[in-house]
Amino acid sequence: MKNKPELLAPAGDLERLKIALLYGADAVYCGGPGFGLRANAVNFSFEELKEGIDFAHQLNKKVYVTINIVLHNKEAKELLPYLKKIESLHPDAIIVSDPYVIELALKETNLEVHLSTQQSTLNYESCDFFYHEGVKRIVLARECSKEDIAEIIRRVPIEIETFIHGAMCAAYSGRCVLSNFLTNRDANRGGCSQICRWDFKLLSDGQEVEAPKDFTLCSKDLSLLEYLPDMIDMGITSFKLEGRMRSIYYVATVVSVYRKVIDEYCNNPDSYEYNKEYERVLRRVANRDSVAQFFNGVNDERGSYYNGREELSNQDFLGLILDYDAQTHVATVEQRNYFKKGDVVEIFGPNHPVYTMTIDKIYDENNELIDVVRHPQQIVKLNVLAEVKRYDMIRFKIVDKQ
Amino acid sequence: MNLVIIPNDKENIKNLDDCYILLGIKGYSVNLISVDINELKEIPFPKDKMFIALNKNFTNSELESLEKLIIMLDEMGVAGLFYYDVAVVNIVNRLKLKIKLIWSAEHLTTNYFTVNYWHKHNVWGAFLSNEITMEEIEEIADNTSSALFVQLFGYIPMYVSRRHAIKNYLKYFNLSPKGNEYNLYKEGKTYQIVDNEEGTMIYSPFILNGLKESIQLKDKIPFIVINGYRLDNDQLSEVITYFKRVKSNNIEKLNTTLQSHFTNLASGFLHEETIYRVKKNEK
Repeated sequence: MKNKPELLAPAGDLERLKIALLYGADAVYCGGPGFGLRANAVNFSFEELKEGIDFAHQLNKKVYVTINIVLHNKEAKELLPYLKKIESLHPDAIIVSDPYVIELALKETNLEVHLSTQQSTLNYESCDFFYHEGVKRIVLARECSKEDIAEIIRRVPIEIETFIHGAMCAAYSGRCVLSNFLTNRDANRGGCSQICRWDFKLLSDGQEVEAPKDFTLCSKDLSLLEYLPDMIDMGITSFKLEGRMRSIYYVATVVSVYRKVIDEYCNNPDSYEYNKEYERVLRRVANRDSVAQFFNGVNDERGSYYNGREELSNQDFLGLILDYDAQTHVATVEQRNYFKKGDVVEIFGPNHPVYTMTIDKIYDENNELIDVVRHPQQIVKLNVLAEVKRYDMIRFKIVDKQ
Repeated sequence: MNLVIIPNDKENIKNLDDCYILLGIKGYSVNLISVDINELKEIPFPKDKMFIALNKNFTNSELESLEKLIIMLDEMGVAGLFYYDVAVVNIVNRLKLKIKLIWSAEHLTTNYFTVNYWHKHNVWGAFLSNEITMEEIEEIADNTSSALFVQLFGYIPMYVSRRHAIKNYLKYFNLSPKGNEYNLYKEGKTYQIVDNEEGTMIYSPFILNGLKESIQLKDKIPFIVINGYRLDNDQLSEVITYFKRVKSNNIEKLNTTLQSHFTNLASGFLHEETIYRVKKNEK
C-alpha cells in the first residue's frame, strides 16, 4: 500500500464541483467572482463557493480558489477585501500567480497559498525562493520533465503539484500575450482567446512556405495516465486535471479513470498492470489527441498539431440520472444528447461498476411512451434494472474507434 | 532620463557609447541580441553602462552554470541583471551579491504593489510591461522607489515558447528550413517569428513609438528603453537622436519626421486598455 497523491479536478461551476468530488477527486479548484484566469467561465458567486466548500468538507475533501490573474494597479488595490471575503468562506487554499498576493494573503489572512503554474516554475532555485516566502505548494510548469520534477522534490521541502491531463499552453504560461495584440483581450487576466489554435500563413523572405497545411502553434493535450505509478513513486503531492470549461461528463469520466489508476496502483503496487482500456475511455471524451508532452524530455513535432486537427463535439453523453426509484426500477433522466429506444448504453457512476443495457421503454414527463429523446435537457423516465444513483451518467456503449 | 538601447547588431554597440545598453548572453537570454560569455568581456563598451538580460526560463540543469555566470557578471561590474526567472533572485540573494537586479517578467510587470514586493527582495528596478497604459505607468512611478524601465520604441515581444514551432512544422512536412527567422501572416498583418536554440519567439506587427509619451514620462521614468531589434543602423541611430533631442516645443515636428521614416509605427497599449473581463455577449 502506497500513500496516495491528491487527485485535483477542475470545477467550472457548482454542479461540476459536486460531480468531480463524487466521482473520486480529493479536491477541486475553482474561480470566485473575481481575480481568476477564466473570466469567460461561469465561475462561482460567494454563495456558491460557500455551498461548494461546505459540500467538499462534508466529504472530507478540499476546495482551492484561484486568484491567479496578473494584477494591474486597479485590481491590486481591490484585492484585500476580496481575500478577506474568500477567507471567511474557509477554502483549503488559494492558488495565486502574482507574488504580491502571496505577501498580502500571508500577512493579512490565514489562507494557505499555492503558487499557480502561471509563474512557470521550472527549477529548484525558484521553488526554494517561494518556499521561504511561505508558499505551501507549487504547481510546476508544464515544461518540466520527470527528472526536473524529481530533483525539485529531492531538494526543496515543498508540496509539488503537476498537471497530468488536459489542454496545454503552447507558450510558457504567462509569456504569451498574442490574445492582447490580436483580439485586445488580456491573456493574463482571464481573457485568453487561444490564438495558438489559429491558422497562419508562414512566410520566408516574403514568400509563402508551400506546405500541405497552414502553420499553427496548436499543441496537443497532455495525458500522463501511463506514467502515474512513476509519478506516485516520485512523491508528487497532487495530480491536477485541467479543464474548468469542460462538461460534467468530461469531468466525471476523466476523474473516474484517474481515480481508478491511482487506487489500483497504490492499493497493490506489486501486482499493478497498466490497463489500456482506460485510454479508450479517455479518448471518448477528448476532443484532441493527448501525449506525454515534456514529461519524458521530448520537445519535438509529436507534441503539436501540424496537419489539421479534429475538434470533435462529443455526443456520447446521453443523460444525467436525477433520481432512481429502487422499488419500481425507474430512473429519472435529464437528456444531454439525442438517444432512442433500442440504443445500447452504459450507465456509470462513482460507486458501482459500469452497467450496460438496451433502452426499451422511454416515458416523457406526462408518462407517455416515446421512442426518441431529442430535446435538450428533456426529462424522461427509463426502466433500469440495476440500482443506479443520482449523478450517475448514461453514455453510448464504448467501442474502440481504432 | 537615460536611454537604454537593445542593440540591433553586435557590431553597432560601439556607436551607442553615450547610452546604456541591454544585451543577452547566449544560452541564458531570449528576445534580444545575445553574445558569448567570452565575447562579452571584449566588447568595447563601459561595463557599468551595460545591462545584461538573463531572462529565459531556467531548468535545474542550467542552474550551476547560471550561478557561475551571475558571479562573473557581478565581478565584471555590469550595470545590472534583468531577470524573468525567480531563480536569478534566489541565487543573487543567497550569495549576497551586490549586483543590481531588474524585474523583467515581460507581461507580468503590471502594478506597483508587485514592483514594491520585488524591491523589498533586493530588486533594484523593474522593466514595466508593454501591455499597460500611460496612466498605469505613471501610477506605478508615483508609488514606488524602484528604478523603472519602460520601452518606448521598437518591436514588442509577444510570445516565448520552449517548443520549436517552425522547426517542427517544417520537419513534419519534410521541408527544408531557411534560417530561423520567418513571418506569420494573418488578416493583413505580419508577425515576425523566430525559432532558435531557446524555442520560439513572436513579435508585434508594429513598431511601438512612444516619442511623444517620453516627454510626459521623462521626470518619472529614469530609464527609457529603445529596442533596436530588426532596425538597421541608420534607423536606430536616428531614433536615438530623436529621443535625445525631444522637447515639448519640438515634439510635433520630430514625431512627424520620425513617422515619415517608418511605415508601421503605433502606440501599442499606451492609450488602449486591454479587456479584462469579456462580457457574455462579446464571447
